[in-house]
Amino acid sequence: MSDMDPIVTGQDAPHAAPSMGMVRLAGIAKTFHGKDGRTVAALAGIDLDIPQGGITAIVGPSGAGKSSLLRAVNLLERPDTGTVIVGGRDLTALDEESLRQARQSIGMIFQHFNLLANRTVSGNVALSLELAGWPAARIAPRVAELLDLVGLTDKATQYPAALSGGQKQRVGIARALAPNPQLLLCDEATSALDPETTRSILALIRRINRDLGLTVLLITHEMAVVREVADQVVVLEAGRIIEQGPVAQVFAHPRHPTTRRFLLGETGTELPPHLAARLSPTPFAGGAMLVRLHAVGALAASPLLSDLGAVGIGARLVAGRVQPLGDQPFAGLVAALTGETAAIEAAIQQLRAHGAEIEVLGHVATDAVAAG
Amino acid sequence: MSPQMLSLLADATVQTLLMVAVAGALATLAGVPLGLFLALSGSGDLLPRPGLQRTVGLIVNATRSTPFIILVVAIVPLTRLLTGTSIGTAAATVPLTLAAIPFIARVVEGAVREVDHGLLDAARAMGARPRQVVTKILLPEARAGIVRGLTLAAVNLVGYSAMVGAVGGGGLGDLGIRYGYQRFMPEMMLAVVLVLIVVVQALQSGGEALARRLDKRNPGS
Repeated sequence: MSDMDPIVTGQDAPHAAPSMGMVRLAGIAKTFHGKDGRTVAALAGIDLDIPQGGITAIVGPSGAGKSSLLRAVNLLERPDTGTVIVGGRDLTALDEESLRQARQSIGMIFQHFNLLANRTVSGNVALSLELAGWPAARIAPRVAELLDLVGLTDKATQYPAALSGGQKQRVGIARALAPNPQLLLCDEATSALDPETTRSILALIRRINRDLGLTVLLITHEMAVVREVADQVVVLEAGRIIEQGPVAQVFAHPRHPTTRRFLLGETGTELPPHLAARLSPTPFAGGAMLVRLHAVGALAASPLLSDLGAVGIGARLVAGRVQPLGDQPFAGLVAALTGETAAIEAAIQQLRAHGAEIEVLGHVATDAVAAG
Repeated sequence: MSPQMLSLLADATVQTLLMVAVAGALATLAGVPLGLFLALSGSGDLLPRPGLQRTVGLIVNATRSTPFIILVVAIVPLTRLLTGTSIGTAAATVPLTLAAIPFIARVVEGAVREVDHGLLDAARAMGARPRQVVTKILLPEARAGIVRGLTLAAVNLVGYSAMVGAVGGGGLGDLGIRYGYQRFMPEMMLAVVLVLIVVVQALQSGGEALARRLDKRNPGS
């Protein structure tokens, strides 16, 4: 338990060297004016650095401003205030023509794919090159190259209507990558896809990121997407960044209540309703202490329950899941602990010292746990 | 029907087709750009000119709500100026064109507005110029709808061309009124109606077939 990844052991661990920023957002604010005269602040002062070469996920509930933030990066939606710097260039200071050229180095894929129905798969991929002014002779070989990359060579002459959702998104990715962008923006790119297809698209994004060194910025409302693909996560709520950091750190040690709530479903640590209803804040005779535990790496893979048994603590598993987070295991558990109060306190102290995030939820009758 | 009558019928059919073709072609040349303008110039659209758009929209509506027969008479001075006469096939083409322009403009506007807004986002994200958005995205994606609209316009023109016959415009309507009605020749009236039905059918199925070929939105098409 001692040789843990330094990123997850402490909350003050150094971030993964964001010195070379690909995207730098400063003071981004955007307000929408409703017809009834009311105003809604979609973005309320966002400062954000996106490191080069990584995959950064912006996550948050719907209405948090994710989409406005992503669309501010290529100025599809121009913020009211603030500067947007991509690859060292201040996009907010460019004229229309320069901005158009700058956008050709920022690829974008969409939730609903946004393919042209009346162009073939090849034609759709070629579109981004035609718009960027590539000569026809160079377009055909580049399109073939990209269809090979996304595994759609045999669909080149098909129209989008004949493709599945996952295949359409592959066309979208090929189209976005064709002009060799430095940055790929993904606008809920897997939200319209089933879980299986989502995984294959995320794997493709991961592969592109690794093989081409492409920086990826994606928005999603699903923590599963963050866990599966991202290096860095930014949690957005009501137009503000409430938490950010390496994914392993934020998953293991979420600090903001919204992040915690958001993570419950993904980590499988939602308290079963029959126990939540009987929760008492104070200990009582015949009761068990309910704790929620998050751990990453060696600690997650260690025999936690038998270790507790060895010091005389009974631990019943109530809910939880162990799943991969990047290349390490990530455990989220809810357990009912019985035994000497002092022994339990000591065990919790020790687990925390080893980097586990432990939250005491309350106390329930032991037989209630068994009934569940 | 006598060979003489048949030859009259053939001449009138050619005249009608000619009027529809010339008026249709001219109105398409003017109506498609006008429709694009209406579709793209609203506030929040690609090339916002809301003031001008409202004015053009008003003129389009005014022309469309003027009964055709009144339009024919009202623009006689313009017709004379352009063709040197106010009767005959060439003269009839002027009001036909003028009536078809706003109709085509509105159907083109509708077809262009139908194009998925997400495609415009994608185009902007790819750095497309407004002209490229029109030529590479809007027109190709709206083409099936535009062809269906033009088909409808051509069918309407056949009907209107029969109406200009009433004011000396030539063509099948003229033949039907002068021979079928005024000279009590029901067989001529019937022949005129039959030819009109065939022409409309041919236009409709030809246009629909073309639109289907151009429309790749559904699998298997």
